[in-house]
Parts: sequence; structure tokens; C-alpha cells
Amino acid sequence: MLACAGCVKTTGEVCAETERETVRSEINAAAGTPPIVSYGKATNVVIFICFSDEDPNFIRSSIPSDFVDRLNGEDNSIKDYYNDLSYGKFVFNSIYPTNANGSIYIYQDVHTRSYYTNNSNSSGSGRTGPESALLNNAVYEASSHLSLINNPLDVNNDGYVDCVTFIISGNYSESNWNKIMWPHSWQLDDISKEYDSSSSSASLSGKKVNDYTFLFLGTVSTKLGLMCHELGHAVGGLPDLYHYNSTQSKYLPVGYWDLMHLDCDTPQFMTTYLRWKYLSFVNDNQIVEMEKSGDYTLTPTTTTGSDGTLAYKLTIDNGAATPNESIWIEYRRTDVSTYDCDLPGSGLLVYRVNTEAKEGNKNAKYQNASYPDEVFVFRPDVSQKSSTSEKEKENLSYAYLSNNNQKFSVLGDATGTTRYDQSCIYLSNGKNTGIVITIVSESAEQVTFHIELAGYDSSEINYGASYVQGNTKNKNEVEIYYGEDIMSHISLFIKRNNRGIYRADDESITLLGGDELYQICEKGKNAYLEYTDDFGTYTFEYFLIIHDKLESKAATVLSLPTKTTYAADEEFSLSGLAIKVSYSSGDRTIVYSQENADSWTVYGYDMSKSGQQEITVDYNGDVKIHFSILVRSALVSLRIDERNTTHLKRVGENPLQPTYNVIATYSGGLEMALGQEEYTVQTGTESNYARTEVVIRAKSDPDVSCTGYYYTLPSSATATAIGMVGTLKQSYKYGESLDLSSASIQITFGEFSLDGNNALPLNNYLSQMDGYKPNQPGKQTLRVTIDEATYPFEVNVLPIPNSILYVGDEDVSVSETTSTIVLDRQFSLSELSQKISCYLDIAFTYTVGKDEFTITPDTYGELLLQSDLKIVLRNKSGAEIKSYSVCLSGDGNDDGKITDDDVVYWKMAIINKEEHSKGITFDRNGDGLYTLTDYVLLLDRLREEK
Amino acid sequence: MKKAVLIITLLFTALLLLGCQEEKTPESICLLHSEFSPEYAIDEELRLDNVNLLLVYDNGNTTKTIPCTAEMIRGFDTSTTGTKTLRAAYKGLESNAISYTVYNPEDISREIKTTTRIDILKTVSSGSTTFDFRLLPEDVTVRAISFHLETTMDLSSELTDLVGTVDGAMDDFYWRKTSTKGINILISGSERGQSSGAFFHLMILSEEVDIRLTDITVSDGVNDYYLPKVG
Repeated sequence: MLACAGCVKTTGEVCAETERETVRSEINAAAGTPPIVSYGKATNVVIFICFSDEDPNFIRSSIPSDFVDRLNGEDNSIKDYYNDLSYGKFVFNSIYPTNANGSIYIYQDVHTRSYYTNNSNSSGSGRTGPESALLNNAVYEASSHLSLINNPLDVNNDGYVDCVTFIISGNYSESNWNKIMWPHSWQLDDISKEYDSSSSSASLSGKKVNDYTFLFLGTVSTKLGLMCHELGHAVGGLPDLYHYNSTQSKYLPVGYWDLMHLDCDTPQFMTTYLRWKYLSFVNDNQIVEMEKSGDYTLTPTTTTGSDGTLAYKLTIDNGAATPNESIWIEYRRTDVSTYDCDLPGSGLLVYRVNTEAKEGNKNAKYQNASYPDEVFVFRPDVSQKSSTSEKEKENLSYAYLSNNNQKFSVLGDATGTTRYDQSCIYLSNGKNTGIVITIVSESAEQVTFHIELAGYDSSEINYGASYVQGNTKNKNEVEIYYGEDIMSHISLFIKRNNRGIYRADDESITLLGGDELYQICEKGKNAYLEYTDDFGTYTFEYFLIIHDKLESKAATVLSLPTKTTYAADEEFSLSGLAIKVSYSSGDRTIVYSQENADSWTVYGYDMSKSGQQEITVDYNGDVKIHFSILVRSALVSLRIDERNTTHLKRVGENPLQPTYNVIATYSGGLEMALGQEEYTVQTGTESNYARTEVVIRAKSDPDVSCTGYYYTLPSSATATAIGMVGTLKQSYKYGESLDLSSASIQITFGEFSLDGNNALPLNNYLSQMDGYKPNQPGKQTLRVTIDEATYPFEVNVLPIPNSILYVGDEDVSVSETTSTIVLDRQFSLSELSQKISCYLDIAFTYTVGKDEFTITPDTYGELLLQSDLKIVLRNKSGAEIKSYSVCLSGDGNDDGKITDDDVVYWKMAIINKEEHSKGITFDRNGDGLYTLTDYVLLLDRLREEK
Repeated sequence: MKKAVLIITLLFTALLLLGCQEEKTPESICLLHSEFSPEYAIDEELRLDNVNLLLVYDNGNTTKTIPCTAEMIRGFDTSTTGTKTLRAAYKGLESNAISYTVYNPEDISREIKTTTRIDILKTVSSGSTTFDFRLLPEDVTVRAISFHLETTMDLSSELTDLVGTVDGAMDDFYWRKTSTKGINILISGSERGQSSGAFFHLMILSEEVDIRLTDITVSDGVNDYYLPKVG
């Protein structure tokens, strides 16, 4: 990138740049590398050049005798300037090639001067070819004349010499603007490659030359400021403060008040802002933010020590998200230091900084808020000159605010409304700040000024824009659990009147109110805090919500409901129930009462069904307890189930030796097997090998009975053979229970056989078939064995199907591999039970605490499904074939509903990159992964449900 | 004299014709595989150092190489990952195709299938640094964004030194500290989504801080898209 030097055309206007031109700061910024000055030292290699039609000795004689002193001298030199500017933090040494006799070596090129001055190319190979050849040859020839020992050439170790200055004999002319023979900065290695891609620039001590400055002896011999300006680009990444655009260059934002705009012969200091922002030579505490109107004192910037205040600053809220404009005030004197001696006058310099502007003022446009100056110096409007640039220069020559400056002793107008009124201190958009500055007293040592900050006085807080930020997205709202430290969830952001917003130190905040304020309050209440700073104490209101946090889902049952046995159709009662629940506020004993009845939900009670019932009671959605009750209704009938019933009895055995599988049926349809102690057996007359009828009566209701039978066998009778009649079911679906109902067995005891109508049901011997594996596909051989006789038979279990459980709802999906049923919306147990089907029996298992019990849709129909429910597939024999866990997709808090409360779980799962710890899936699109898209789909679903 | 004038005229004409002679159009052109980089990182610019185009004349009896320039290349695109092909075009001829692979240097397994990018504008002011996050250009209509943000400073345990605000169609954000300098951020918005412009502003209460984004994912509610790291 080609950069034009910050020189002044003879017409007095600063030279303009084409759009493609930039400064070295841009290069540094783009590369992300710190400027050379940050390394504390650097070397400037100076190479003199003359042409074939010039006499090097004559050129040498034209170099001022004190020129070397201007490089490294104790005073008024490049080295001294940067030393003073940096408080000694940057040592900038210049070296130059010498002849054997110690005189300056001047490289004489093979071409004449006119060869270059007549070159009309401003770009392309016609420019890069001659220029790269000239400078590479100069470097090559000069390298043997340089003493490079102890002079670091590449402090940032980027492979390139940090800083090279070519000084060309003679001077330049206006006609050569933007061509070779014009002061400029460029990159030698880059242009060498541009001309010939196979080449590269010449090197010094193995470091290639790239960034260089191209100056003319006729100028630099008198203008040290120009060299310091150019080197500021090279080592500091400093931007130019003049406008590049040719139509804008006549407007001067800074003038001689900063070296990076118009350079004085004796270099003047840069503004404190540039020293602070780009060079980091200034400590933050040397720039003091003004917060209230009053008197302030400053010392000259050229003599202020590294611990003194260099400038006062006032940040202005210009409506940007972050205030980016500020007013800076510093004291400049012509009579206290070598540098600044060429300034137009002594006094306060007031300038505006706009950090939205990038790279100095090069892209800025006059009085245009969209293209603001990064630095703009306020000046009086006193010049009568017709030329804009001359007028600007003259006005800037009076920009020192001083009682000794009749044209500029007061700056600012508290009431002015005209935009860009030069009597005002105005923002980039021309709006008057209303700030007024007057000089109280001044001397060479210090100045005291008075400033009226108008609406920018920090002593007033802007309550409307200040706010308490809690842990919700709502301003002025704090939501915590009881016992949590509010201060760890709260921040106070203060906005001073028309100033930037900043976060208050926690130490400056006091929470108001006693302990009673910080008790549980689910619905929230107003709370207050106090903020104290140098200007006073201020009170802020915020909305405080305090939840009581459940510490454990396990409740302790202090007493169960008094009533544990119910008659049919009797209302259920929780009276007497008392539990203890742990909350962050402490353990709470909760006793059931009419007043809190709404907080309790009962599952599992069916007043129309007899028998034991498993009851679950939910308190407030926080905890659940589980217990059993008994419902007794009328016995309707008895019957014998042939499965595992025995019809054989040996002589002398107890009449009850034959066992009967007696099934009782109660009103409402409930069937329960009775124990032997629950019924009586009334027998008839028995004889060997004869059938005896029996009557079985329920002990609880002897009027209810059924009949049975048995065969009496001699005590010595032994079964000798077994045969089978009927069609035995041999093919079974996966998991299906053994079905022996269609076959009977014929048993032979020596000469007697139980055959024909006396054949016994095969089901009587079901208990012998425990070798049957319903979930083991393939052929299995089973046996009936009585005494010494055995009858083997074969059954076949079919392979496991792709889907055992069928669902008839698009909002339910089954994963057989993970044994999970995923619900895409809220389901009650009753609804789900109607949507699923299977050739096996479907049972539902509910877990409460450590208890797991079976529930039915009849008794728990309204239960919203959560992860504490399992679906179990059992066969007719009651064997568990497969079970599925149930989850409601997206139900983060596992309460059976999708609400706003679940969103935080979705967010946490994205942030933590893991699914819900309880296995609840958030995989909304069913691709097996939970990703950002699932999160969006979950949000959409929540919106739909709302 | 006339003879001399004639000779000079002929010589001048010959020189003129020589000077005006157009370069011969080659019969075919060829890009050399060995000279061309087969792999490019996402968003990387074309590298043409030492890449030449082989010009073939006279049935292959004569060849000439010329440096290949960016203007000659067709089909070079590093805005998305994948294996692609490019060709060179010269004087109306098209060269052989060369395959190249564009990969995501952050994680080669993460394919980048969108040209949407996140741009961050940094503004330093007194006491704080603001980072304005923007989406550009307009490829995916973004409904949610997640990323890991690494800062150059230690963050407070409660992240009270950060202030985040959503913009555009985004209306919610969530973050969690993952290390002393890192946080994961999730930003989501309304159903209409957002395809460009500012979507998030982050103010860090420090003037000397920088940030870097990795692990960036955006979703349009249909698909997830990975984006290259920023910073």
C-alpha cells in the first residue's frame, strides 16, 4: 500500500490521497501486531541517495553539519523527541552508512535524476520496477557501509527491518505528486514482488527491507518535524489527522496542534489522545474524567511528568449504544520546551475525540456525522480569508484558549442552538453540548480553568436510564431462592446525566429493609437498595421475587391418613395425613386440612373396586407419598382355574392334598385368587381310582361356592405312562405365555388309566413348565413328568418382531432399541393407554420414591405422564417380557407439562452439550441428537401451546 | 535518395508489423496439479504463488508457461466446505479441472454449508468495551445461535462484568461460564428469524479485552449450520 507523506503542498493544502492509499497503522492493525514502539527500542536505518548526473561529494556537502545531531542528538532530534514523548519508554536510534573516513556514504544510482523525475507512472510496473530497482540497489550498496552491531533491526521479529528511511538528494516538485519523486511511504518487498514475482527485496543482516519512508534532503534538512511525522507512521502505527479526500483536504481538523496533521519544523507534541491511544506512552491515570462543573488545573503537556495529569476528559452521551465522543482539554505552551515551540500560541487546547472514526481523520468529511473526525480541535471563527484552507489555518492559529488571546478567551455557549456554531463546543453532528470553558489564571507552569458542564454534570443521576440488573432478562427484577445471596445476583448500572453508563461497585451498594423483606415471596414485592458515591446517596427500586427451593423430593411421612379401609363407594379421605418436607427455608411440617386441600392430589383410589389399592398423594407438585388401602365389596362367585390345580390324591392323604386354584369374583368384576385358608373343601365318598366330587365354599361368604373333583389313588400307585390328547399350541409369538388349555394328558398307573373323559387338563401341570422361555426365540422341548413317566413335547417361539408395541398417535414414538416411549405432547395415562396396543398385556408401573407399583388407567387415568412411569409388557403368566421408560419430549423439569419452566433446561442442555440427566429427550426432530434446531422446535411448540 | 527513403519506409513498416503482431492463441491450456494447493481453509484466499498455466502450441510441440492470475480462475469458492473443482480460462480456452478441498480448520469434521458469517465490531470507551455482533450476508434465516466465547481477561464468577443485550429478531439469550475466560452463549429469537444485521451486543467492563468465538452453530429451525470461528 502506498502512502503519501504528511507533507504540505506549496499551495498550503495538505496533499490528498487516493482511496487505495493508507498508512502504516492500517498495516499494523490488520496484521494484529503491536507497534514497534511497544518493544521499547528500534533502529531507523537512514540511506542517502543521489543520481548519476550528481556529484555525491557535492550532495554530501549540502547536508547540514548538524544533520547527524537531528537523528540522535541530545535535543531537538528524532531520538530525543520520541524519548520525551514516551517518558523514556522508547529509545529510537538512527544509523546511516559511512565511508572509511567516517563521512556519510551516499549511494549514487546508475540513472540520472531526470530518469526518475520524468517517470509519469503512479502505479503498475512502470512505477514499481524503477523504484524497487533504485531502492534495492541502494540497500545492497549501503549494507556494507553500515555498522549493524548492537542495533536491533527487527525488534518484532517479523523478518523485516523495522524502519528504513531513504533520503533523496535535492527536493521534489509539485509536478511529481503521487509519483516516484514525491515523499511517500511504501513496502519495498511487496513492490519488488509486484514487479517480478520471483524476486524479493534486498536485506540487511538477513532481514528484508519492506516498510520504508522516502524523503528529500532539501526538506528534511530543515524540517525535523516531517521526519518525526513519517517515523510516527512507521514505529507507532499512528494515523494521519488530515483528510485524504481531495475535496475534503482543505478542511483542517487539527492543524499544527498535532504532529500527525501539520508538522512544524521543530516537531510539536502529539495530542494526549494520540499518545494514549496509539503509542501507549501515557498512563490511564494521566487522563482524568471530569464529573462536575468547577475549576481544574493543568500543566503543559511537554513538561508534565509521567505521574501528572496530562488532560481532562469529558465523555459525552451522543446516543450511541456506548458513548463514543468525548471532549479533551490539555495545556500547550510554546515557551517551556524545545518541542511545541513552533506552535501558534500558548493556552488550553480543547478538542473532540470520536472513537467511532477509524484510522485518524483520513476518511472524515467536514461537518458530517457519518464520517466524523477522530480528533477535532475547537477554534474561533475569526479569519476573513476567502481560501478555505487558509481560513482554516488562520482560525486554528488562534485555537489556544487563553486570556492572552483576545480572539479566543472563552469557549462554549450554554444556550446556542445553531449546529456547528464555532463559538460552541459541539459534537460530531454539530449539536451544542452547552459546555463553557473560561480561563481563571495561567502561567508558564500551569493553567487553571473553569468549566460549566451544563447537562453533563455527573452529580445528577439519570434515574430513567439507570437500572438494577438481576438474574432475569427484565430490568429492575431480581429472582432468587430463599437463602441465596442477593448481591451475587444483582448489579447496579448507573447513568449520569448525559454520560455513559457504568456498573457501580458492589461495595457502594447497600440493600435496604430488614429480614422481613427477604422472606419467601413467590409473587414478588418491591425492594430497595441504596447507592453511595462522592456526589451523594441514591435509592433505587427493584422487584424482588423469592422462591422457597425444594431441597429434596423425598418427604417424611409423619402420619398416614387415619382411614385405611373403605367400604365400596366410600369417599376417600386424607384426614390425619402429615408429612415433613425440606425447603431452603427449612423443614416444614404439612398437615392435611380443608384449607390446604387444593394442594393435594390423590391418584389410585377407585371406590367401586374391591381389594387392596395403591394410593399416591402429590403435595403441591413438590413431593409424592405412597401407601395402600383396602376396599371391600361383595363376593359374587368362585371358580376353579385349571392352571396348577391338582386332581390326584393318594389314599391316606389329607382331603385338601389336591390343590385348587380358586378364583373369587367380586362385584365390579375384580378377580382374585384365594389362599387355602380362605375357602373350605367339602368332600364325598372316595374309593381307589374313583372320581370324588367336592364343594368349595368361601369362608368369608359360605353361600358362595363352586365344585371340583379328585381321583383317589392307592398309596403304591405309580404312573407308568403319559399320553396326550387334543391339539397342543406349538407356535408362540415372542413373549407369549405358554397355552396348554387345548390339550389333556392321559396317565396310566399300571393297569388303570385316566383317559377318555377322565383325562386331566394339561394345564394342571403348568408349574412343571418353568423351562419355557417366552423371550427366547427358537424350538424348546418341555416335559410333563409324573412319578417315573415323562411326556416330552416341543414348542417354537418366533423371533422378536420389529415392533412389539403399536402406537396409534403421531405424537407418540417408540424406540425399541432404547426401550423408550417419547411423547411429543402432554398425555394422561388414560389417553396413552388408548393409543397403544400389544399382543401382550400392557401394564403401567409407577415409581414414587423407592416404591414401584402397578397402576391402571382406571385408577390413575388423569395422571400426567412423566419419567416416573414405566410401561411393562407381560404375558398371561405375568412374566415381564419388556419394559419401556416414558418421557415427555422437552419436559425438562419432569412435571408432565411443557411450560416456560422447561426452557431453562433446554438452554442448559445446549450450553452444556448434554441431554437431560434423567434421560428425557429434547430431540424434537427425532434425528437421534439434541441440537440447536431441536431447541428452536421446542420453542415453537411452546409458543403453539400458548 | 528515393532508394534510401524506400528502405527506411520498408524497415519502419516491418518494425511496425513486428510490434503489432498479436500473441498466438494456444491450442490448449493446462493447469498443473503439482503446483496447485489441494487444500484450503474456509474463507481462505486463492494462493497462486508459483502456479503457472501451460500453453500448448503446434500439436504439443511447443509449450509456454505464464503465471496464473486470479482473473483466470473459475470455480474457486472457499465460502463452504467440501471437495470442489476449478479451472483456468485463457483466451477463450478452458483448462483441465483441478480438485481442491475446502475444510474447516477449527474441526475438519464440521462441514460449513452456509455463507452466513458473524462479524464483530469492537468499540472501546471509558471503562468498557462493546462488541456488536452482526450477521452477514443473507444466506440463512437464523432463529437461534450458540457459540463459545473466549475473552482475554478473567471473568468474574457471576459474570457481573458482562452486559449482554439482544437485537434484531433475537429476544433472548442465555450464558454459562465454562472456564476463567470462557462462556457458552445461546441466543434465540422470534419465529420470523433474522438473516442479517446486529443481533447481539456484549459490553465487557474493561477497556483492554478481546474476544474470540468458536464452536458457532446457527439454526433456521430446520437445519443446524456450523460457522467458522471468529477472531
